Amino acid sequence: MTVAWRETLLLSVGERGVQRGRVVTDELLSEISADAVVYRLYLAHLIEVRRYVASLVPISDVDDIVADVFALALTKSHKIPEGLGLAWLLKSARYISNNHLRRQRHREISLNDDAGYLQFEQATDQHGESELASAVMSAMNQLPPKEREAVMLYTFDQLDVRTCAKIAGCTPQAYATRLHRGKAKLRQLLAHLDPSFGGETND
Amino acid sequence: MTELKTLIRESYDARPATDTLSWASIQSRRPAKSRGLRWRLPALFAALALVGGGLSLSASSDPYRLPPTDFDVEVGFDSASERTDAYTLPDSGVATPGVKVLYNYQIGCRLTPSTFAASYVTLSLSRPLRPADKNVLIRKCQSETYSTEDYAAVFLAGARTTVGELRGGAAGSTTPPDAFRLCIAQTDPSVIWVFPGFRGITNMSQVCQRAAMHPLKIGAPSRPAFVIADLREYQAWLKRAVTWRPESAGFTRLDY
Repeated sequence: MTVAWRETLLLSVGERGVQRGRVVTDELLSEISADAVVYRLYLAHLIEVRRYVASLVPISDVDDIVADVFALALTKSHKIPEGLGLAWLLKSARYISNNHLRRQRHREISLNDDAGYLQFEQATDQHGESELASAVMSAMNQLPPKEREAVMLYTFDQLDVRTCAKIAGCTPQAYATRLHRGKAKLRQLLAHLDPSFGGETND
Repeated sequence: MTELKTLIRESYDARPATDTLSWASIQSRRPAKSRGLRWRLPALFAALALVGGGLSLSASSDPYRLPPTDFDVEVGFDSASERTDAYTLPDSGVATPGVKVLYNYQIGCRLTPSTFAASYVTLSLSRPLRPADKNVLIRKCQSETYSTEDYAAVFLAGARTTVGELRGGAAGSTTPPDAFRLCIAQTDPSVIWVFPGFRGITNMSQVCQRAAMHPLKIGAPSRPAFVIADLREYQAWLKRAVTWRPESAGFTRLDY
């Protein structure tokens, strides 16, 4: 990068409020590139991370946690393995969610109540979302946390069992067991919506 | 019967987005140590687009005067791609192992001086380019503008578009390139430039309008927005963009 280019950049940025006279260093530009990496992850995986976190914490806290996950990614972008961005985000989401739940427990707030879900119901009612979505969320909330997490990870086609197990912090065998049990219970819970859920399926 | 995983996905993903999840909001959560970049990034994206477009302080004497429009629509280069060899820039968003990003670009509307709503587009290579490929590229670069579809069959693994934040995450239209041109620096064959062409770029302006965006008012010298009605005009704009970078001195094949 040449000095001439830096000066041009500095001048243009200066017009937009950046402190004039600040040298645009390679280090600074490197940080900007790191931000671009996280921005790409944000565009590509925001929905997935949000979905996964929704299986870990009450709905009312989900977006807050997800925002924290990407904020963490901004500070640790150099540690995100190439090609494993989603797995890194989900693993980080799990850490942050667990810390969040731990803090909540200290505040003696029961996280097993339906406060978050009820809030979601209100939100969906306002936006005219389907009853089916509410029923599925309700059924998921009735699963034990580990099985709920396993079932949610199962919705990510791009993750194999081994990666899912790493994210969930267990062995692949344990993950498979949780998933099997979780899916079976979920099918039972959803059988009233569609009788075919009550039987064995291949999905 | 709906597949179980599809049902779960659709149920959870149907929830409306909140402002908490906007990129600007996420950047504001960055710890204080590096917080200085939270507003600088979009500003620099904007600056790169601004400088890259040749819309500098000397705009008034610009021989390539661009048509004024109601909305501020710009084509900018992603900063990472701009300053590095885009060909070797890894893209974690591409699922196929070993696939490399050829080029990233952003096209978008400016909401405020520090907020840049962008459609993010990635073109990725299906395999590393071989020397023979490069010769083909250099030769063709002199005379042809490729259609994306034609070119995808030869070199590209795919072209992805993702719409970024348009007013707090509301989805907008994507604007894939209608055409693009590849050039390789004579001085360094490992550096590849990709110049996307947007015959339909005016659609992006419509996206801005639908998102209720307004012309940019930053008190800067008159800076016309750029809406491409003619591809040659766009190429002339690009030519000026590359002459701005001293590193691009080897790109002599851009004489349209």
